[in-house]
Amino acid sequence: MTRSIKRAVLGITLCFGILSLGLVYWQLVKADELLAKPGNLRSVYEEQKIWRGGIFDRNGEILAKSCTPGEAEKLLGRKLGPTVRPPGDQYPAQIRLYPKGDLFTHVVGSYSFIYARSGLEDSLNRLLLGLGPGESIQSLSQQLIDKPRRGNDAVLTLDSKIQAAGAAAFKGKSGAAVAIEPKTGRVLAMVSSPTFDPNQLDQKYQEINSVGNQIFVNKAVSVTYTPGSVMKLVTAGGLLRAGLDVNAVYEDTGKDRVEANGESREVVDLVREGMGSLDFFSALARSSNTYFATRAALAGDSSFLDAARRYGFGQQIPLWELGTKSIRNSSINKSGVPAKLKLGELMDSSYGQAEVQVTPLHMAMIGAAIANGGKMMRPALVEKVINPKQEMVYQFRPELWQTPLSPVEAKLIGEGMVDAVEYGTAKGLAIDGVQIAAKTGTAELGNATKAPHGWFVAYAPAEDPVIAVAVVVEHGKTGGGSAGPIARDMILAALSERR
Amino acid sequence: MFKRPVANITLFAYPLAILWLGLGILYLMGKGAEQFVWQAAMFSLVFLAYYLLNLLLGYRGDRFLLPSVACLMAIGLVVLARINPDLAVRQFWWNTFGVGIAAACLWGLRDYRRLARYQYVWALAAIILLCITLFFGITTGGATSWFRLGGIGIEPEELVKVAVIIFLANYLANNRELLAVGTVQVWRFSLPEPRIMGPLAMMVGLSLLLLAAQKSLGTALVFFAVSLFMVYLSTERGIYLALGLPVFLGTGFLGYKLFSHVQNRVEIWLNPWQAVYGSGTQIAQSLFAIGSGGLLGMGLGRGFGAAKIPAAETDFIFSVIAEELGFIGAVAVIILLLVVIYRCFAIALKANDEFGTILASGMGFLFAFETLIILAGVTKLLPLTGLPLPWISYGGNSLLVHMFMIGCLNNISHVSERQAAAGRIGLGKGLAG
Repeated sequence: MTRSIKRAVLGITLCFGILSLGLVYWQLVKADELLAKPGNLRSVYEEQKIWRGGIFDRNGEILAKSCTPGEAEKLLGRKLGPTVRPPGDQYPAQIRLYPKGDLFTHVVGSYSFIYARSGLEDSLNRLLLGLGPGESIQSLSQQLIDKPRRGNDAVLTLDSKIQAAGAAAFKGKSGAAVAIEPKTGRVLAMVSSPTFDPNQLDQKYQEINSVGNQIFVNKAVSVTYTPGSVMKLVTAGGLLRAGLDVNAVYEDTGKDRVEANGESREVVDLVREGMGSLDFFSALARSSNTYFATRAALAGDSSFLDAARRYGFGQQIPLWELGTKSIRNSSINKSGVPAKLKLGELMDSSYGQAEVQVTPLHMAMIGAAIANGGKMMRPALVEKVINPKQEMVYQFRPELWQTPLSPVEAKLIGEGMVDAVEYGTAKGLAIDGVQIAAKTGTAELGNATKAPHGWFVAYAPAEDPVIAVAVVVEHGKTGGGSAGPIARDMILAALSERR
Repeated sequence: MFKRPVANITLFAYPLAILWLGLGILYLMGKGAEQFVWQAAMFSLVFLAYYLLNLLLGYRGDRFLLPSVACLMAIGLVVLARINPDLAVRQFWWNTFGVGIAAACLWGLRDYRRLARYQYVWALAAIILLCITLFFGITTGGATSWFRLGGIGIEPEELVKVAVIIFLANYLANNRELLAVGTVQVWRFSLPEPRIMGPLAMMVGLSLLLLAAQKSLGTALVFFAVSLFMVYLSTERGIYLALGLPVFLGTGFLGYKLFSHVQNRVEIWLNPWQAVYGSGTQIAQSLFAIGSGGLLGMGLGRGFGAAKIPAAETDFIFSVIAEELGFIGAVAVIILLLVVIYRCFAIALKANDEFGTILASGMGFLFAFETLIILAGVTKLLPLTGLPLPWISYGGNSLLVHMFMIGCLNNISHVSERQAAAGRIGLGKGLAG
């Protein structure tokens, strides 16, 4: 039996060797990846050694802060549930409190002892902890400190009043809204609906989760929608660059046909009987599909695609504050911005159907670019970061991102948007004493049984814009009816602050 | 005549050093290790008494087996004292008692061949014990594997492990030639006739069936592998292993198709991250703990796994060791376990008769498969099936049974060496006379 014993021992030794390699894999190769996985609370526990900095809106209102359990109960006005606390009592218990409740859930995010961090709480984690370059959470575990260090405070560009106005106007409908300061790119509001109270995430996770409808997703940046007619703001840019005569009259009969390169394609308007004689401004104001589809077909696919590229389609939007991996790109079709489009695709894309997909953030940036003389600024969420010694660690400076339009082109599109409010699709949404520029969208979905998404892109005041807004209401039918009032409320909130 | 040192005192000093050093560190960290002083002192005394008894009675067997096992016990006690002091207090007594059982088995049994006399008694006892558990047992964690007797939880499958190995060892020792040669021709292979195979297949099959009914999948797997390798070892015919593989795969597939909890296990194994807050939490937390250990570990008492991993005291104690003592500590435990297994086979090679060889090897296989299956489970190399890690995990039944086997192994080793020596002396006398 000696031979078989020796063989068996060899086999067992081999198996133990594989087992040790498994340990090498987990302990040495994959260690950092495991530490970063959701559900691994080691880093959260280590982070308790630092008193996490607060998050404030532009007016200094508290959006998130760390406090003692006693303070938290006083501020919330209720007893804390069985919160999960780190083991041991080496460090004072920090409770992360969100005084604004469910108002900033998606953009500010949440910090939990059980679930993964989200939003700015995740992407600004290092800043809020005040970790220096090269300092990591693992290196914290090597430090034994008596009293917690303090992290940095972050002041955001967000405005609680505009945010609250937008969130309230949703009235339970699903969708997203983004407001931007056109001249600087400061994001003033970022609403995602439905929402939940992050103070109760740990206790009521199952309940929140059962709401569904992507409740944990920041729809303003992480979901793309079919834009429908708001896409005409992009198409118009391409047409103007291609030398469109804005005063040339086009006869809208409700449908039209284009034949080019042996292809033939028909396009129909939502208004079946047609809109009569249209120039560029009235075509934008009344949102004629036939006008834009036929003009785009005549100008050719490259002028449309170039315009899309100039507007930032297919590119990563550098809102680094939110962590670029959570921000989706807008696209013309599945390949981003393709080199060519077939006639039918081009015509459908020109009024925002076919495979065009945009994020609400990007649509707000498009509105802001038109408001800002054709200059698209990098969107920003963080105004400044202040360290515990009250020194400024970071200060926001406006940066140009793209220049999709010349000042003249921007002005022409702006005029069409003002017309939309005066006599076009956004007629009911005018505000006394302030000129608003707007574009509506009704994004039909491939599934005909579902109501289309309603879009609204606007800025105001038209002559000197202080706010640009994009709103999408899922299955809201017309943009003017569903998304328009939300945008209007946000604009009113922004203007009332100005006065 | 050459006289070799029967037992080197330094070998016995290692486990005690580990134990007291570990408890000292826990004490300095304020983990309340002072409550274990009496228990640890008792354990140390009994352990030293074992050493003195061996010295006194002239133990000639393997010198490394018990000290290696005691190192594992010491590591287990220290880690358990850190995870759950209440359980550790009990485990100290179990360990102390376990050393006593090993001594009793080594010296009280006199000759391991006496175990072979009651071959069918062992088999019957095993089957009856399993049946009792199945009908009167208590279900925990999906498995019905233990029952209460006078306030003490008894886990018969641990006892059955010994019973089956003794039965198999004796049966194989008696019938190995017949099993090895075979008279029935199946295609190119000759297999033994059913009369020979019968009792073997029945015993193994019945045990497996009962274990499967209890849903003790890990133990069933260990049984199957140990029986298979014992048959291979004694017959030296690879055909038995080759036959075992399709049987294993077939049963595994059937189990997967029939039982939802098997499907769950496999699903969790493939992607524990999906349900990191639900069913996958055990394996995910285990990997988080192992990963955070790194090369040198977080340090004793400073890991999070001890509080976070479900069943950290039993099935997942290795993950806690890997986190707090690091890769170095985890590999040290693996090497110690491997040393124990090597000694089993070394004893098997030196045993004077086939029963001794097969019995010692069977125990070696048992230790090897238990260790491999649970460690591969906690490191996500294989789907998890709950098993205690021998000598380290909390649990009196497992510990006492494993210490009984260590006693047996020492007995085999001692008896064989003594006979060999006697043979040499006898030979010498014969030549002189």
